[in-house]
Amino acid sequence: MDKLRLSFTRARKESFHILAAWLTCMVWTIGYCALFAYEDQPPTLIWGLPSWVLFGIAVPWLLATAYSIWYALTRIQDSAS
Amino acid sequence: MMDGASVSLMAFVGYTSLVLALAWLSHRVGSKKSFLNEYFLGSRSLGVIALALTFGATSASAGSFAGFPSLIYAHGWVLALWIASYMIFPLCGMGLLGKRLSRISHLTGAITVPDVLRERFQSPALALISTVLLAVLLCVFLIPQFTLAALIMQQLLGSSALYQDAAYALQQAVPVVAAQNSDPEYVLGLFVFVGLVIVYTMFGGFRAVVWTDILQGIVMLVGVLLMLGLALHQVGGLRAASEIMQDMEPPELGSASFAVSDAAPAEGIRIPMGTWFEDEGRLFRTGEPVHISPGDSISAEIKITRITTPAEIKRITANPIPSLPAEPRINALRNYARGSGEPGTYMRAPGPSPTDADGFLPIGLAISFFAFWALAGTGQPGNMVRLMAFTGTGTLKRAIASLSVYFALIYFPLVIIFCCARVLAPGFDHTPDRIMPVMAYLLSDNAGIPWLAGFLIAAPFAAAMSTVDSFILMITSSVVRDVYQRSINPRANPARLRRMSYAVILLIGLVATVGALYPPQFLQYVIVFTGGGLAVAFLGPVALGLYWPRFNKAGAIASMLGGFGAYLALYLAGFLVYGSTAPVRPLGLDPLIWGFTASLVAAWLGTRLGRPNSARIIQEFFGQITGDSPAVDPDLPIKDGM
Repeated sequence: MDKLRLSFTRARKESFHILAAWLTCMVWTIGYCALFAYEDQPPTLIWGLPSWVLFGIAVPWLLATAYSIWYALTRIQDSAS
Repeated sequence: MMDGASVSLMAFVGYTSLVLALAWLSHRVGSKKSFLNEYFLGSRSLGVIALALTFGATSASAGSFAGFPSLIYAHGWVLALWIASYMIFPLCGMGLLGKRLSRISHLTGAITVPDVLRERFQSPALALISTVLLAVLLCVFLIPQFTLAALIMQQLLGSSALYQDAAYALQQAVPVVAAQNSDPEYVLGLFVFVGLVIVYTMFGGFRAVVWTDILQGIVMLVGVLLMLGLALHQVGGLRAASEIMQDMEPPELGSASFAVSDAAPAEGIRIPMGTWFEDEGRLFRTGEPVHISPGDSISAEIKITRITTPAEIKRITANPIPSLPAEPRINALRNYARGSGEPGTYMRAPGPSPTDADGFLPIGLAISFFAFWALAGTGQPGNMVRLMAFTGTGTLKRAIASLSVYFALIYFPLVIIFCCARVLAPGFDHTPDRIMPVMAYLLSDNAGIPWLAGFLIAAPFAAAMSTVDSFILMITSSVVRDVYQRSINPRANPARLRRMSYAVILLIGLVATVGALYPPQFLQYVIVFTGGGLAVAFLGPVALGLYWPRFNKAGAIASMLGGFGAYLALYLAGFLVYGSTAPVRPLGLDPLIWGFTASLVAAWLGTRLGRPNSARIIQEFFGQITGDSPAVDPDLPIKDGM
């Protein structure tokens, strides 16, 4: 496999992983918030945040940031030059 | 001791001087390099911090620091869900296309997005279509950015006597221009902003834009973190703010005029915006300044907000409300369409709405926006250009990591700050666009450091600048490179291209300034429409062009026109059906989702029906293919352009 082909297949594989990460975030955030943010009762507060914000948005945001850093620094491969 | 206005003016002058110094420096650095490559791509030399901050600052437009805070203030915690896909945006926006786009643009020498499309599909027609779409949509996008920037200027400097004198002098000197807008302070703000951005963009090109983006990115981050600390401290902690919001219900919105029994005195009567007053036991706040002219006995109608939450009324009236120099005459008040009489509605989804009975963010729209920010951000040509300008994959990797942290430190804290604003600065519900400067001054004054307001308000000003400069340069590069150099005068020398670039920048500035003198009524809709339009037009053709070897010229043209056509059709249908700027949303999903779906379907159909790519194109862009080779026509000539 030549270098350009190798670089292309690597980039394509990484793009699928990134799309999967985006989909995971979307399923978690939208799923959790659909279940718990649209209720009529006032939300429970945890550390001052509504619980649906904490578990539906703040926690996945933290994990997504950690994942993005890990993935970018360790899984994205340098282009074959 | 200096007053707040003088301090703001000094902060602004200092900031402006820094921006111009950076432009001068970048001009010196870039003056000995190849003109086009340097002026439009900074010689492809972006490092980690430059790539991360220029990408972040360009993405964060004036909307992020003026429109977004006003939405948080108006609708509460549900905005955390609205903006949530920024959690993964840096990885998507830079990681999906970055490596391939950089490689292909290096390989082909492309310096603009239409350039990449022209090389990949060997189609001058596609390059021309994309240039026209890019130039038209970006010019329209610039108008609300200029308008918001002028408003920010007005709010930042409007209380300075020097600024007021200058605005008055402008009105006297150029009455024809100033008369186009009733407020000379707005016109002066617009001229100062445009002049500043045009000068440093024209003088320094891409390198100046990136360097100022770095400065602006730092200003935004420091501004947000300072505001977060001050807001949490002054509100007594996040729990205290949330507990107050648990009881909060939406106010009533209305209008009032103010009258005096005798004619107003020679100096007139003025009541500042944000003044509390009581009428028949009800508590109100003015959303605009009141002015009764000398000799008159009644003011023009202004917007007012009536507070309805009992606990809030008790908290605000704990200090006596001073009586006003004029009697209020309250006109009809109206309840919110969603959330009225529901304590705690700001803590839940879909959030209250003054106009929509379904609330601010029904679940269908929440899904749309999660897709919108990630897809629209990835598909912005302004972001794509930055991905053509970095030094290597190592830079991209570290920039994704840095930007992930940067966005986490900007967007989630903004939600917290402006939820606290509901408690610290209640009653601006009828004019929430003013909440950013209101909070900047309030937090700084309460902290006893009034000069800080100048710095805090510089954040949205920086956001507007960093977006506008990039877009001006992008339109210029498309016109000069893709239209003039590639189609009209391929032998143009660097000096001619430079003069041409300067002329185009001036022309864009002029067109957008005229547009901003007659600002469209729904700025946020224009921003959303043009941002989404660019994404549906460019994401499909560029992404598929980079990753799908079979994807051909017919598929790319179909994808661009099909995606944008479907998107535009839903907006036009909305105009015909509702008679407003709201688009039709089949299944509750935003037109961006439908536009993107149409773009993919059209891409597949066009590719099936169109002529296969030549073997040379496959080889040049995807390398030597073995095994299941894509559809290739080995007999096609090398240049199979339209």
